[in-house]
Amino acid sequence: MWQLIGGIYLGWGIGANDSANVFGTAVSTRVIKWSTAVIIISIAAILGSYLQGGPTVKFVKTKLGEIKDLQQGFIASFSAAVTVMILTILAIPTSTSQATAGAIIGMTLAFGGSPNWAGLVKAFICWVFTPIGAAFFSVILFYIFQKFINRIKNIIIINRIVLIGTLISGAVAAYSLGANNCGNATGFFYQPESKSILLNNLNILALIGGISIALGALTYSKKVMLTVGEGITQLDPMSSLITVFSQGITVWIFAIVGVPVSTSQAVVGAVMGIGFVKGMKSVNFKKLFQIFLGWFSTPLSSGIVAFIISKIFS
Amino acid sequence: MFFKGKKENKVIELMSEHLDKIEEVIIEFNDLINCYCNGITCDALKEKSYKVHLKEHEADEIRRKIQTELLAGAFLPFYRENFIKIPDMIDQIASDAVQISKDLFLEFIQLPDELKNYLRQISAAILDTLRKFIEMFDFIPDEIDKVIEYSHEVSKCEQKVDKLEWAAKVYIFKENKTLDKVDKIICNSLVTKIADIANVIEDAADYINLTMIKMKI
Repeated sequence: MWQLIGGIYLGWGIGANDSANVFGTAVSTRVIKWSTAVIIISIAAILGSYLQGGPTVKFVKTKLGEIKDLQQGFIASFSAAVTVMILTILAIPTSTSQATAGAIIGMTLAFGGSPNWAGLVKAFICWVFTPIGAAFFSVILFYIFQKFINRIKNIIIINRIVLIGTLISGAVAAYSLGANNCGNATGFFYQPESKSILLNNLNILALIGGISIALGALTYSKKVMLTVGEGITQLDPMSSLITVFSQGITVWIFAIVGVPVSTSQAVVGAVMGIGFVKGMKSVNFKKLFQIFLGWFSTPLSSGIVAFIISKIFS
Repeated sequence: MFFKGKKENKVIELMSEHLDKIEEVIIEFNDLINCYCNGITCDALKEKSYKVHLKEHEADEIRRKIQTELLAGAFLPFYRENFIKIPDMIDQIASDAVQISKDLFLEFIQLPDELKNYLRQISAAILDTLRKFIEMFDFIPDEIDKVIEYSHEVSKCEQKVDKLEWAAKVYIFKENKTLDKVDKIICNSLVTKIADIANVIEDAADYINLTMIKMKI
């Protein structure tokens, strides 16, 4: 059972890094305190993982390659974690979901198994549609919010709505993060035939993934949250809440589809959607290119790392 | 209940109180200008000038309360920075009035009757501009669109002050034959400083307008 540590570490990394996509702007602009933010994130992520995390756990385990036992699960999760760590040190934008997919395929190939290419294509399509979907939702939500807010004449009510909206959209995004990304943490270890409830129950595994995400948020998210938040503070509070809400809806949809996706790439898409409707020069081609490159480079890198580690272990 | 915004309401209340105090300053100032134009003694002018100063000091106290309340967490930080600046801008109206009152006492020059008449009109127009500004402010927090609409009205009042200022300056330099060069420069500076109060009011109205637009999408 110790092998679960690899997945928990991955989940911890997701919580530490991706919390910034949920409440980064709100915390760095002091709309809410970091402590309040991480409590909301933790509760919502655990709820999301337990209530709707099952499909992504199943997808990671069954739809990409062959993970025969806990040992292989550990190799895949460890490889994904190492890849994310190396790419982060090299300052190359990365996604845990994409690293997970690549690691499973690399490990499967190393042990002579046959990867599920159809599953990888499905994941790839979801990755492509993540920023596109988030941009689409942010445009739609912007017009809905605009109509709603512009009807309100009282500035104190507007102020309160933005505050409450920020908390709600953050909670939605954290719920989606838990539901969508818990599979990245513990999907490797799903053993339907196992006698242990920790391994044979999708919801329990998803919950463990959610708890590890919450742990990451609680213990190591402050610095990232402030850094990422300050980087996008040119957004006004209303646009910021729409961005987070759009990201949350998009990631939640892919949680239902059962494919882990990148919340960071969803945020980039949502910000571009807002920029499009507000007439700002928001199409950052460098960021778009980084996302495009990440769809290939992250799974390829983690695939290679997993292949090498698998060969060493075998 | 959740939408009540206790802290925010308190800030708006204090801002309104602050504006009332600023109005008192300008009423005192208007009275001072009229007395000066009616030939008040230097000592009486000093007394009146001190009254303007005292009112300004009271307004200052309220400004500090507003800013303390804001720093205690009223309004979201993104909007808060605007609300912190507004009382400073409004306070400038009173500070300018105090400064002019002191200058009048120190310079105490004799003005030609035509110029006295211009000063009375400019001072009255400034009070009108401020009252329009207060009318605009009274729509906060309930009528965001009215606030935006009324900022244009403030601007119209300020234009009236501009016209009077120009007419006074034309009189000083083109029509008047009794003032010497130095007096003309002093009178010109006096007219500019007094008329500038209306500009400060207009700037504050524009800034509030901008803040309201910022709060809409």
